[in-house]
Amino acid sequence: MISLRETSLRATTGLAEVGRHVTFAGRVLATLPTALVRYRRQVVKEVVDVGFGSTSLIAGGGTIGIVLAMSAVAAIMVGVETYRGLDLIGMTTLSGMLSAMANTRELAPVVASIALAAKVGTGFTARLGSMRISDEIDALDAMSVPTVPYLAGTRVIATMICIVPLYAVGLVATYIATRVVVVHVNGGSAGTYDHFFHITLGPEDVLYSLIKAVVFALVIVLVHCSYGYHATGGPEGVGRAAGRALRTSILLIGFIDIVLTFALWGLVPEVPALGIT
Amino acid sequence: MVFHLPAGRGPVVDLAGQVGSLVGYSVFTLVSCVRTVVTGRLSLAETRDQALFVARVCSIPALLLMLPVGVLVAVSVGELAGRLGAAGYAGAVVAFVVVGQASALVCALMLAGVGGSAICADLGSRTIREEVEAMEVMGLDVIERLVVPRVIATVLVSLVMCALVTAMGVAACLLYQVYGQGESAGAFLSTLSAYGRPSDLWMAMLKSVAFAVVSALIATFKGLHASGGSSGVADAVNETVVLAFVTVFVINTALSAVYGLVVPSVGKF
Repeated sequence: MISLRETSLRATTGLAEVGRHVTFAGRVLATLPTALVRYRRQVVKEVVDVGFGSTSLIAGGGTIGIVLAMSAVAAIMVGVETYRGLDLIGMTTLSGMLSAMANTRELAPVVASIALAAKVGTGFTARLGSMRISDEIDALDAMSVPTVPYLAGTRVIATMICIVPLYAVGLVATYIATRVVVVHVNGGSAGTYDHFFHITLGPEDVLYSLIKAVVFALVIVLVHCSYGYHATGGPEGVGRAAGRALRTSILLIGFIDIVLTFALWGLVPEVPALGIT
Repeated sequence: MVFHLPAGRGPVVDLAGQVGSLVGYSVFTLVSCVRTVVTGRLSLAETRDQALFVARVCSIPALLLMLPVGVLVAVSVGELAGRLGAAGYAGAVVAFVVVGQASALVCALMLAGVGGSAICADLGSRTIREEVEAMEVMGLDVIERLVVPRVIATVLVSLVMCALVTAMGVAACLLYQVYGQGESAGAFLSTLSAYGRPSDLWMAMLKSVAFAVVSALIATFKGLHASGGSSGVADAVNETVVLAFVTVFVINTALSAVYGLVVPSVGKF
């Protein structure tokens, strides 16, 4: 049996850990100007690392490949499922509308963020964690290099630079993939699809979905850097930290997504045109 | 037996070598799973420990993640269905989206991300400490002792978790529809039971078993082939997560498309 004392001890440790990560995030954000001014070369190096990655082709050949592949595949699924669902009520003409809404508002930001967390985020945790357990971070501290802006701040800036083009590629991939499935595979009418797609998709929707993606990316980088920076327990500990960081960031994406959906599009989603409000 | 990878000569050769080894390893391991279970050599204690471990790290996050997903489905899809003049259709949409897609994917994200990275970190640190080689020298079958219990444990956990997560998702949708939007609970449940079929749930179970097998195989493969010290383990975990996520998404789309063709939809609205 777990005693009351042990339970309360565990709860306290958990709270302390949350506090440690939040404090770390605060320190990173507060020292961002330092990172931008003093470590510009490091930022450029990280941009290359985030945008293209350095692992072998089997892991998708860089971040852009992963974002592209996962977005396209998820959008194919949207095409298949919406066509099947709308077929039931005889409204397959509206597939274009659903593509414009589901892809822009929910699917593309969430899937691109999950891809970013898997590829870039766990990479950050792995890199910082191995630096931590081989005492490299302590060595930097001893040389009075400010490790928080140098290691985490530069990575935050680099990801913020990369997320916009990465996300644009992912969003376009979802549009193309859904259209191909509906028009070319299921044999829907191309003209009807494009008509409903274009009258539903407003420019502010794209802007809002970009805001979502940027917020998710910021949260992901902060979470993953923090878990890597505080990793303990040898190589296995770093691996476990990567898994825990991924769990935390996916959960945060889920909860922040619903908050942002309500904040940006309102409690009752509106469809422009069509007269359906 | 561990497949030793040839040294990479350029990215294309490297890719072909890795994919070939992974496929070979998967077939070998699955055959070995069947043989181990049939001959009764499965280490039950190890399987139980691994299953409890995976369940402990994955189940609570998966259930938590299902809450926002369920509410989001209820908000966007259900609400839109209502506005298209198909208000009673919300329950059916929930049956499609939550049971058919979301529950299995949420399970897969957690199994591949959290469970897979833990398995890979465990095996990877054993590999770089040369414990795996030591086992082989002593004549112990690494696949039978280490890999098979983990694959079977992940599959068992995925079945239980898929059921729990589906129940949680439907409950979240129902509660939001009733208390958030003031719809009738009876209409929701009646369309849910009219359009939802047992085969949807079986398909979700089948999908999550497939995801579990794939993520366990990728995690053990990458773990057993970790090299290059502690940063090698960390890189292996990173590659595990990326590869498992991409594979899971591809398999999900393929299975969904096949399912739509094989099992016809019931009824017309």
